Amino acid sequence: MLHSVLVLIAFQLLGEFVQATFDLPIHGAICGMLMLLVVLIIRGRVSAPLRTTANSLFQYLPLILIPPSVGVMTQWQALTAQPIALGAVIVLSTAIGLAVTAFLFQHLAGRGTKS
Amino acid sequence: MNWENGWSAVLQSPWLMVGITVAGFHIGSKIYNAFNKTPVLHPVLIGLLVTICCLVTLGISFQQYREGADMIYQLLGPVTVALAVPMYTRLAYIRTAAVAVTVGLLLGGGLAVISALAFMWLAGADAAMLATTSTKSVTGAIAMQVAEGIGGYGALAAVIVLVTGVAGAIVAPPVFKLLKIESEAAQGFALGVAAHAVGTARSFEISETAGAFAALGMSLMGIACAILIPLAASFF
Repeated sequence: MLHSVLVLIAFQLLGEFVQATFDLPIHGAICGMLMLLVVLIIRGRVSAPLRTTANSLFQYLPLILIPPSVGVMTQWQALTAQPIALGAVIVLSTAIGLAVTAFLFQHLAGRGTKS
Repeated sequence: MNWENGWSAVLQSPWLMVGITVAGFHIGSKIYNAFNKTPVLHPVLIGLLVTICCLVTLGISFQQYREGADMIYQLLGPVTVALAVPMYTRLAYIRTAAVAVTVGLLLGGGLAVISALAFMWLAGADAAMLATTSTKSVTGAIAMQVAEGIGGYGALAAVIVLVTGVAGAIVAPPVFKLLKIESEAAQGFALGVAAHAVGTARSFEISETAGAFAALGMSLMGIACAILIPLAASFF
């Protein structure tokens, strides 16, 4: 457990290091996530403790998302400029994405992946 | 005895901010479960509303809240890193339908993003707002950090992501019916790509297969957007 937590912290720090060193336009945590993914693909397996640790952390992911989202309090003006347009755009583009993805997947997957 | 000192100590304690957040999420989860996990009542959405209402009522500014709730905020980093674990596990599903997965992701996921940007641009949105909208179909933790990285509003991106997920879960059944999408794998994959975690939760209600492909779609969309959106943004 502690070992897995250290692995996650190490990749977080590695991500911050790479982000700052190469001045990348992505957050350190995203860098760290992509690097851990590459390492897992190369190793070809995930250790059981790392999987357990990750899953126990995900239980709290929705809670962790609340504090950064509270910032909408201050970004409200960007939203109120055109709330209906924004809502319509979100619904419409999501429907387009759903339709195109599902249609292509069903026709390309063929009989191989019957429901 | 000085009531005012006591009260102001509580108002300045970081634990008040943490407490409000946890309470908000707890109430959100209770409501969500009580109403059969209806997408509109997503626990983060309700939790966010409850938290903001508490802050406004108590007269706490976002700055004060942000400082107090920092201990929760900081956890976002390592938890985002941990997302690599389920992503890796789901990659195994690609082999069962490699072509469908690749084309569906690139064209379907791509169109979900590009159509949103095009509509926003037509509506006269500025660069920061376009950056904020570009991550709408990606799971919240990634979206927030990608949007912020390219000059968008992180918090607003998180809310747009939530609304996208809820919209996706609601419009999916009629869309699938209209296009005669019967394959559960196709339904799940589309929900994962277009509506991330909310769509994935919805897919697990359809079937185990739909859920597995939704999780794959969400993961691939997350990876693709984390790499391609900042890359594309660097050209503008």
